[in-house]
Amino acid sequence: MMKIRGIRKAFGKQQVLNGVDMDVDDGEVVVILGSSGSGKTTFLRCLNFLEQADEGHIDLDDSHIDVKSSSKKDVLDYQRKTAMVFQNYALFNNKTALENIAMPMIATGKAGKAEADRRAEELIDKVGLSERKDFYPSQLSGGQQQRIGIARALALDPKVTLFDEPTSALDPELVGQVLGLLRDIANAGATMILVTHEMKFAYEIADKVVFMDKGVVLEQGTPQDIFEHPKHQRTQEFLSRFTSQLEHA
Amino acid sequence: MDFNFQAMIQAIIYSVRYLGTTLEVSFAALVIGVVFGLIIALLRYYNVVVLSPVFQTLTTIFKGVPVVLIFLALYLFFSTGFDPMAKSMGWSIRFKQINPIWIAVICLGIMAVVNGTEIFRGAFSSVRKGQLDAAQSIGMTRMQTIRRVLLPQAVPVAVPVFGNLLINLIKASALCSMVGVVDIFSAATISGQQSYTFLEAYVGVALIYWAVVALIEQASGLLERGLTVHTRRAVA
Repeated sequence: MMKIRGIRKAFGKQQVLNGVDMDVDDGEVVVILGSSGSGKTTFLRCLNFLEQADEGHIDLDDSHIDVKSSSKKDVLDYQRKTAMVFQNYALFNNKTALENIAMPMIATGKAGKAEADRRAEELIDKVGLSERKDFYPSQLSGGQQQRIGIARALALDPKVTLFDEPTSALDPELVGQVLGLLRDIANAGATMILVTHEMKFAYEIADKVVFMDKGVVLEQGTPQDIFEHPKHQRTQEFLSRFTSQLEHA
Repeated sequence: MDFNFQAMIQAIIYSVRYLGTTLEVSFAALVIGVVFGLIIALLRYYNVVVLSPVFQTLTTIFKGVPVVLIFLALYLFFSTGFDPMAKSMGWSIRFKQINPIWIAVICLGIMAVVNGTEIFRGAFSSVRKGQLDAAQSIGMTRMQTIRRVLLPQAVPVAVPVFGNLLINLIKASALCSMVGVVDIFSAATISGQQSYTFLEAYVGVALIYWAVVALIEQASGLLERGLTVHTRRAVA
């Protein structure tokens, strides 16, 4: 169970997050929707401490973080319970596909070299890229890179995995393979917070849909609640732009 | 006018004995440049408080000054200011006992540090930033990120440029004669003075510089190929 309370973040005078609360149950898939500039990505980055939020509390497992006052060690400890998948994959270019998955486990002391390699082999098999394990990121397609990026995140056995628009940089024909993998991971019981613009996919995969606007959570509920009976005008406007995508749902 | 080949050969034979000095000074400066250049570039890359702006200012100051002036200034400082300073600090060492080669190493070292900082900064900027986010998101510490992600990608980019810097240092080391160090350049001058064959001596020493520089270029190319063999791009 993850409990997020009152996350606030400003860049200079620009207040990006105005106190975001969120509860995420174990095994739950939360999809965050919102137009660009609504603070979705910043929120994810704050949850991973890639950005230091100005205020807020996060409880995850036995980590109780006050973003203002928690010690570096507590933050690092918390950070290692989370993992993030990036829009632009962000693989380590000097490492092979397999090393990209194994190295974080070794660096964070979660496994020795042999154990890390064994687990990395397992994961790379799971994402269907065994035959490419010795390739460098520059030799892989976007979809393949993102599948390695997902395997790298899973390798850390995170309590919660954050996905920041994992398919938005991909060619349309490659989106499917990544979405398929995300579906498998969700079905396997992973706790996920996902920012995406794939509405049909969001509808199918989400246990809870959160709509963010201007740095706050405007409304949240089941996919049926949000997609079929949105209460707020902003939510309705936002979703109307995606009706063509949803009609095929 | 006649060109005395015999004198040129003699100048080469005489000067080449001091090649060791030229190389020592240049390599020592290069090492200083790599070590301190890396430290300063990292401080600036991570925007470390106080230290980053301080070194930025120092870099700007030294970048704008000819190396000749650094030699002159440092030599003047040492020859007039060192003894009083040593006395007040209670050191027993005096200016006359300092091997002038150290002054040369410091001067070229300053030049190397200024250049080395910029070389590393350029190399760091070739590493895509998203990877640092990724490392941080995984919970890797800054030192782990530097060692496992940043340097392995930046070093292959930096190596050929450092090869160039070494070449520039070797040529700049001809200024050593200004502080009383006998390197191949001042040896050639001495050899020219003996038989009044300056042109021959300078052409001779130029040939030595050319040979050394050509060797360094070869070596740097080989090193570069060795370093990038693992990450050579299939696609640019």
